[in-house]
Amino acid sequence: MKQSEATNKELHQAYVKKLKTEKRLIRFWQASIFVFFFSLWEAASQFRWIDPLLFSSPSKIYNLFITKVSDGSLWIHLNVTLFETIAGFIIGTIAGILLAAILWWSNRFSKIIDPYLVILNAMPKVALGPIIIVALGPGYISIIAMGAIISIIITTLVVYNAFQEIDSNYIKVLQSLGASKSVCFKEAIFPASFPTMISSLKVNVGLSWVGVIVGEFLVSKQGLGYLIIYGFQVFDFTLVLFALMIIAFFAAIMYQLVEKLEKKLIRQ
Amino acid sequence: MSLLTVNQVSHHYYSKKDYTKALENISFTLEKGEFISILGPSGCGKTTLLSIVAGLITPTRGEIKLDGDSDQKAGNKPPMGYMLQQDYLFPWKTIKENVLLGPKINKNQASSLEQRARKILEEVGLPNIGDSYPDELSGGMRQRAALARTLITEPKLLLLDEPFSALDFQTKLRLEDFVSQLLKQYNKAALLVTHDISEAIVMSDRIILLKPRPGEIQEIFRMPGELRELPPFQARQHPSFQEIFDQVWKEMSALETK
Repeated sequence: MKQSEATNKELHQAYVKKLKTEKRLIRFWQASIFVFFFSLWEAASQFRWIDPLLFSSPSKIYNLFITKVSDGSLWIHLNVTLFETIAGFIIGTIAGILLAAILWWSNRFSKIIDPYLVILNAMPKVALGPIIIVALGPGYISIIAMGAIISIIITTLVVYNAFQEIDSNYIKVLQSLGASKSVCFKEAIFPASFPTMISSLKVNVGLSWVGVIVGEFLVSKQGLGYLIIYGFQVFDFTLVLFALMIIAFFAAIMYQLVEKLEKKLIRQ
Repeated sequence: MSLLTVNQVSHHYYSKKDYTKALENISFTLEKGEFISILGPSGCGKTTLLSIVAGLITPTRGEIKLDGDSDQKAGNKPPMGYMLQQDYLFPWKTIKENVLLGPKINKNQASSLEQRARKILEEVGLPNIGDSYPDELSGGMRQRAALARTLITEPKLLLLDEPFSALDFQTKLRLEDFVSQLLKQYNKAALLVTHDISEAIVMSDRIILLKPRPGEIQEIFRMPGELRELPPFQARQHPSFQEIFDQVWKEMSALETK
């Protein structure tokens, strides 16, 4: 009896060990790709396999990073862009959900508005950029609007769809208990669509970055998108690539945060 | 005055091309404490009839009267409890929150409610699980919790839409006994929709057999006293059970071959 107990434990330990080895292997390859890519880039630049003026090199970007951190200018640009992206993201998501709720509330309104939603959804929203800038002025409000507008319609469509997919018997239960339409929405429709809303958050993080960066291309005097367009204009591609990397890093962090939020909010 | 009067109710479903008669000229009454089953093959409009009685659908013609007085629309406290095939407990609410849904909707915030919820959960055989979530419970337990949610609003009339059909056979038998005993204890009336002949026989005082397309009352069977006295499980073994079963079976098969 004791013998088998011991072996059972051993079997489990072997299993745990196997998991660990697998994980280590994956981490190893991930790190390898990272190191390989940047070494190759650095070497290619050093030995002039690629034009360092166009493609820069990791060491130049790193030096620029140090300079920008020490003179504090990175924080200014980063703050501006992060603020605009988060604001656009939140406004876009909330407005999208509100619009979906209105569509759910009035079936007739949703039928009337349907073709317009299809057109707005199909249209590339960044094409609205110049109009938005003319309407809202060349400042951060326009850029936030760009970040928001790009995710509103798709959020509306996805969330409205989720509202409609709820099992009508839940509504039947509530109605038999005497619930009004707004109570049905509060008690059943909204909470049941919660997972869809959270997953639309994940999509919207990426979309808001697109809207904000394009907005900054068009008007701004500050921000990471501005750094890219400025670097392009003065032919400083170290600056362009530097801004690009910062964007990639913070976009990934925002995505991770939303994913954490998702795990926290959706219990099961 | 009867608890429930269904007076010449007809209901049509419309489509662009045509209309379908779901129910045609249904009239019956239900007395206080009485148990009636509506039996019929699928597509005979049983569930439609139940939804009409519950006030969820307005019938094309005819009327529903409760307790003889006003139309059921008027009351803000629902005099009826509705139980469906599945429990439809809200998965993001705890059992206690699910049970307290009715009072919450009706803005009843008496402090004694917590206690009542606990007491009702105990009565349906689910003590100490108020803080669990529905997915932690078995099918039978969930259906009991759904029953508790219905009972806390103190309905005079329970509407049961095949509430046992999604359960495994053992659980179904146990729950039939339990519900039947609970209804007798509180002297509550019930209207059960089912396609299960034996379930209808052992649970009911009367069986209304519906004929499909359009749903019309074919026949009303009155269950013999000796079966009505017995709990469902024992009623199934009573000699007169088979007799009634054959009678209903014959009528129902005749409908289906028509």
